[in-house]
Parts: sequence; C-alpha cells; structure tokens
Amino acid sequence: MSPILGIWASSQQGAAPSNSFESIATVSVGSTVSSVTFSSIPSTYKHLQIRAFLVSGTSENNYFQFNSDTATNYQWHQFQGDGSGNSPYASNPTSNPPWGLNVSNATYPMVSIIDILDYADTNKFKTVRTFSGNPGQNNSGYRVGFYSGAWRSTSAVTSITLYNSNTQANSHFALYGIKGA
Amino acid sequence: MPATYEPIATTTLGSAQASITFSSIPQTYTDLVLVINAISNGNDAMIYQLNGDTNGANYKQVTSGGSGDGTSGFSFRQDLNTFGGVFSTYRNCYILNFPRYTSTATYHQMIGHGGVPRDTVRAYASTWFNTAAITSITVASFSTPSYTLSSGSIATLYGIKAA
Repeated sequence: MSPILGIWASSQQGAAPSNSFESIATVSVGSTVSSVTFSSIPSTYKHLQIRAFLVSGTSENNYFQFNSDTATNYQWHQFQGDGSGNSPYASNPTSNPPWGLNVSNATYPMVSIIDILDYADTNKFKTVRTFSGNPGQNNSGYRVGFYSGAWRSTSAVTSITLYNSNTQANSHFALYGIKGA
Repeated sequence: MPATYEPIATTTLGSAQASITFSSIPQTYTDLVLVINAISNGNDAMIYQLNGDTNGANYKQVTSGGSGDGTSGFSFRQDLNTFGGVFSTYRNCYILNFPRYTSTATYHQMIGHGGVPRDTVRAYASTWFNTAAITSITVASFSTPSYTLSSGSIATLYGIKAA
C-alpha cells in the first residue's frame, strides 16, 4: 500500500484522504429493531458519513432524527429513478429527511451513503446528502437516487437516529468522522 | 482513532488492455470503494465483474441520470453488470461502492455514480446474485475485445474499515 499515492488519487477523484477518515462507531444488527441511534457523537470532526446497509422486509419511509428533535424543523428534496423508463423525479416535502430509499426487503439490501456536513458548526443549519440504491426488489422496487435535506437548527449534531421499523439481522450501520484541514 | 480509509491498490495502464482487475482483495475491510478514470478506443458501456463471474445474467442494475442538454432525465434497468460509459474523447470518472463485501449473508450490492463529460452523469445501483465474499473486481469495456481501455486509464481500490 502507498498512502502517498492514495492521497494523490483521492484528491484527484473526490475520495477521502487516507489519514482523515476515521471510524467512530458501528452497529451490527443481530435481531430486528425499529431504529438505530448513534449518540454522544464527538464534535472533533468536520463532517460525518454514515454507510448504511439495510436488510428489511418492510417498505416504508426511512427517516432521520437529529438530537431527538421531533418537531417540524426539517426539509428535504430528492432525485430518484425507478428504472421504469420514466424520468427521475423530485419532490420537496417538509418532514424528516430520508436516510434511504423505501424499497428494501430481506433479499435485496438497501445501501445508503450519508454525508452530514459541518455537523458541529453552531453558526449554520445542518445539511445532509444521501446517495441510496436498491436495484432488485421486484419490478416496481428498483430505485437509485439522491436526497438532500436540512435540519433547521444551529445546534451541534450529537445524536442521529435512523428509523426503519423492520431493521433486520445483518443490517449494518457505520459512522465515520472526516477531519478538516 | 486509527485511519480507516486506505488505498489497497492502484492500476495505471501503460498500454491498451481489455480490463483492469484487482485480485486477492484483503478481507479485512468493511466496504470497498473503486475509483475509475478511464478512456477507451471507442464509445462503449463499462461493466464490472465480481470474482470472475462474466455471466451478465447474474447481475441486475438500475440507472438514473441526465445528459444536461435540456431534456428530461432517464431511468432504466437491465439484467446486466453495466454501470456507465467509456469514451474515446473524454475520460470518464466513476466511484463504485461495494458495501459489506466479505459478508456471505446476502446478495452483494453496488451503488455508484459518475459520468463522462459531454455525455451524461448517472447514478447506479446493482446486485450480484451471489453470497460469496468478493475477492476480485474487474472493470472492462462492455464490447471487449472490440474496445479496450486505453493507456493512461487509472483505477484505485480503497478499503474502509468500520470500528
């Protein structure tokens, strides 16, 4: 392995430099739960990334909650396509932002990569970008797309809850911290 | 906390080749990220193959994207292992993610995005209908050997390790 080469390639390609991406916490689901929470998140990073692998038998809206805020302080929009030949579509609801597509089942896990920017900055609202895909549930279940969301709070994000009422065994959620310069 | 996003290997082609393969992938990470910056001798789709499985019927994928020409975007699905385009005029750029690649509990998923300038930008989600741990990844032009990856094409494989 060559860290120098890795850093060079990363700067060219948009991946993280090899010495600035750290694992904070991981949840490996052993039996069905309705949500997963990362709490006591250290404020020592610039950005956060969650890499989620959801095994679920329920098609439902998977949504975030920050710092246990249940009020309507969120908004989001999306761009996604279902592979049916139709154009991708967008919407801009005002509910909690999704952390992944609602098409997962136990055979075809749903994958999401979630970036939470400037999560500890108390001078701005928090923004989230999610890239999510699930290609194989059934003829109506294909999805790939992006979500962009906001939590209208200047509080530092110290906890994140990801909801899906049927989060089954073999689901896996990993929280990473990305350092700034 | 230890650094956890590490380069595993980089291949830079010194001459035209049919494909780029990363083999004997260490099983010590949680996810893999493959960054591709390639050019070809013709305009073609790209494919990926896991563990040498060349049967496109063992994969399926959904693609969404747009061309930026003012028309609506597109979305389609295929029972193939395609993920994008490779052109002779402009280098492409793709980032493919292979989560939980050592797991033998479920089919393997890939999500990725990228594009070719003056063509399209696209997002992909793909399934490989196999539960074997991923030990090798190959990327190639769909119509190989008619089209090959040109000299200067680069691919870097990274490993991400969860705590």
